[in-house]
Amino acid sequence: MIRRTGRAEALPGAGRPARDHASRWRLGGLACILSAGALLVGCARGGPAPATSFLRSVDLVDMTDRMGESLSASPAVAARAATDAPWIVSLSRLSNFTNQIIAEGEKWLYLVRLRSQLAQTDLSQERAIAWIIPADRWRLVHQEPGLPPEPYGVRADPTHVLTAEFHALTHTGAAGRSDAYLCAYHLLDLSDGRLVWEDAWEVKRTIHGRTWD
Amino acid sequence: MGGQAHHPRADLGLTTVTPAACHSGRSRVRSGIAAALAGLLSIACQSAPRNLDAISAYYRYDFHLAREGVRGDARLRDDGQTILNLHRLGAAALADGDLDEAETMLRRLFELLSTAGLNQDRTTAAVLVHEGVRIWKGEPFEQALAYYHVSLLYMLRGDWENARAAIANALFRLTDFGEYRTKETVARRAAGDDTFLDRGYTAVDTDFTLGFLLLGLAADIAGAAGAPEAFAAARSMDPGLTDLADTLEARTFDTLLVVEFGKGPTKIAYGPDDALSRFEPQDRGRGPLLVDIDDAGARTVPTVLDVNRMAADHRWNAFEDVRRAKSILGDLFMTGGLIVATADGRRAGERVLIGAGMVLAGLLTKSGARADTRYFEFAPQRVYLVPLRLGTPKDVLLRVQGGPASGYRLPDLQPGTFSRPRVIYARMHGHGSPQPPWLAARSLQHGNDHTGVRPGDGPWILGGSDLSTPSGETLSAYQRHGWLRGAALHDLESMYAAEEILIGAGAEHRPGVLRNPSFRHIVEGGTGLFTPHPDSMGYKRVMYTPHAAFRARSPLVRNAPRRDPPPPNEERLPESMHP
Repeated sequence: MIRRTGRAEALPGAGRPARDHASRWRLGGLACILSAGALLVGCARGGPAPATSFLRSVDLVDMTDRMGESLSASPAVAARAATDAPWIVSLSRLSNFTNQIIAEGEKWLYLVRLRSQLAQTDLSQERAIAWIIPADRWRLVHQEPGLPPEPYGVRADPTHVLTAEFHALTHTGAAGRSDAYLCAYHLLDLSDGRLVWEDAWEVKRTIHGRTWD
Repeated sequence: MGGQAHHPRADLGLTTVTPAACHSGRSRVRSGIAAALAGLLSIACQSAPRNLDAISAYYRYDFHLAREGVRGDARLRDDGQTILNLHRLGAAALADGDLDEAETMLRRLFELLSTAGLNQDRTTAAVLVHEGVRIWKGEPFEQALAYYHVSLLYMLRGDWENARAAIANALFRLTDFGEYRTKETVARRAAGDDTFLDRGYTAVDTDFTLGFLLLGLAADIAGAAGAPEAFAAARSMDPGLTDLADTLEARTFDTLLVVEFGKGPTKIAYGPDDALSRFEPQDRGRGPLLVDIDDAGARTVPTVLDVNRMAADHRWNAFEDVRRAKSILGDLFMTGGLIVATADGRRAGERVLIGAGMVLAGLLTKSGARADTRYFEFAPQRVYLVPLRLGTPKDVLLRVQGGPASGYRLPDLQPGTFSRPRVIYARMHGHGSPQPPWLAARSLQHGNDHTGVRPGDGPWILGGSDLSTPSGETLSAYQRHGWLRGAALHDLESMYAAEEILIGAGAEHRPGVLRNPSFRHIVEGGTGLFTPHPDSMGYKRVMYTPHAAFRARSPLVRNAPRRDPPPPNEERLPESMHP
């Protein structure tokens, strides 16, 4: 306010202090700089940085680690001995009932990594358990690093099947989106359909901001 | 004051500086600054121009050219247009039968659409500069269409779990402003109430009937919950589609046609400072689809989705008040800036500088007032769903009542099963588009990976007409017909390599290259040998169009022996008896 008054008084006059003169140039320059800054910032053409409430690779790792621990510690597995009749456990790909797209190959990873975790322990030898993948799906997953080979000749005659089913409760609103996931694993005895083991891994992911914008 | 100095519609309104000032030296300085600023603005802040070549190609049924037109933008650029470009290329690739490229685009599109707050840090820039600096996410109805296209991709792949997941995302709730049923009334109300847009609406369930029908079907086939509820919702929203919902729910069909027709609405700016936008229909009507199987007479199929109607519904649109507020702000800034810049008096130099700053600020906001008119140009005007019970391969002719008479023919269409129906996607255009002969063609011109090598045929590069990719099975078939006798598979592959022909669509990795020719088929001047997704429109175009004989460039192919006469009686032997 003070500066503006001073400038108004100086306009019709014969002279003005050099400092005022310079400050006005600075003011004008500042206006230009701010405007140009706004232009440059505004017109910056960065692309979108996605932040979703979907499952991520860290979830795959944590989930399969925990499910492996749970299966190893389950009474049905713990009660087995190396001399028992072997379990030939066929892996089935997960059923995706979430609202997230999970590609076919990725669906297998959620079981194959669990198998891989278990195969790296002594569980297979100590509890007489062999893990197999259906032949038509093997090509999708056999290149997964660290995957141990299957026992020869057992694929055709599984005794059990390990399945997974992912569900999600999705909520979208003005403030953001949340997906609450329930990832359930089941081990079924194929001879009688008995549920040998089940456990679930849960997580809720939330993102904030307008979902339509 | 403003009457002389400022024209309300002059977005870069520096030509309206007073005549007297124009003849002074100062005015030249001002004009110079103004021109520089205007130039800077026009360069830096203009929205990306529409890709008219790609749009034109798309509506000429040249989907491969449309893909080439948008591929560079979709694959190489990462900016505010990314979502739009992904949708463009994904949709064009779907129509062209390249599901791999479509999936690459549409999966990223899905991820980006499923974010929140993408433009959170750009709101200020959008107000100060231009709505176009925002990351384009599309109006809500365009987002629903995008999710539908993602779902369609997975239906075409037979992946019903992901089809369900994708379409479920399209059923988001809408904002209903009650009695304010047009954009203008919403904007007017919002201008007098800053909280209106955030609090003046009721969140209502979507009326996206197509989405509910597809959700019901996909959930049912995938074994997920919610199918009966989805079909019930569709029936309640559009009782005229009850028969269709019943058929889909009963699963008494083995083939599902998803037919898109016409040009969706175009987006224009209008109103003060062009601050508002609306969608204007390009094609109109809701005429039924006529479906004729084996020329036995047409039956009519109703429209499931009218995109014109969706685009005109305020519940499927957003953000008009922001543009209007910016327009007002722009006028104030512009007026003030020009007053300072054109006033006579001493110390004109500094005034010019101050004024220029204000003009620039005003121009920034004023230019920002213009509504963002980017939109998804490949949207259809309407969509039909056609469940068919074919049983055996049949000829299917599709025409739209009131549309081009020739229609689109799917010869020898192979059905799926009741438990896993086969999905076919057709993208048909209206009268404004040419109708290439292949649309109605009945005769297959080229054997391919879908049909197998036809009797007597050999590879196209050696003078035959077969476009199968090389394999042991393909080579055996050629040799049974007298071609490439004594050759090994490696020899055939070497011939393709000698001609620089790549096996598969997009097999060449060309980082930084806008138009990768390996996505284009060799019969259309590209370098790729592949079979588009069977019974896609790209498949029909490539395989049902007669193409000129291949002109070999390499000595290996030029000098390769052509067809030998088959040994006596060999052609009559059953296939199983051949080596």
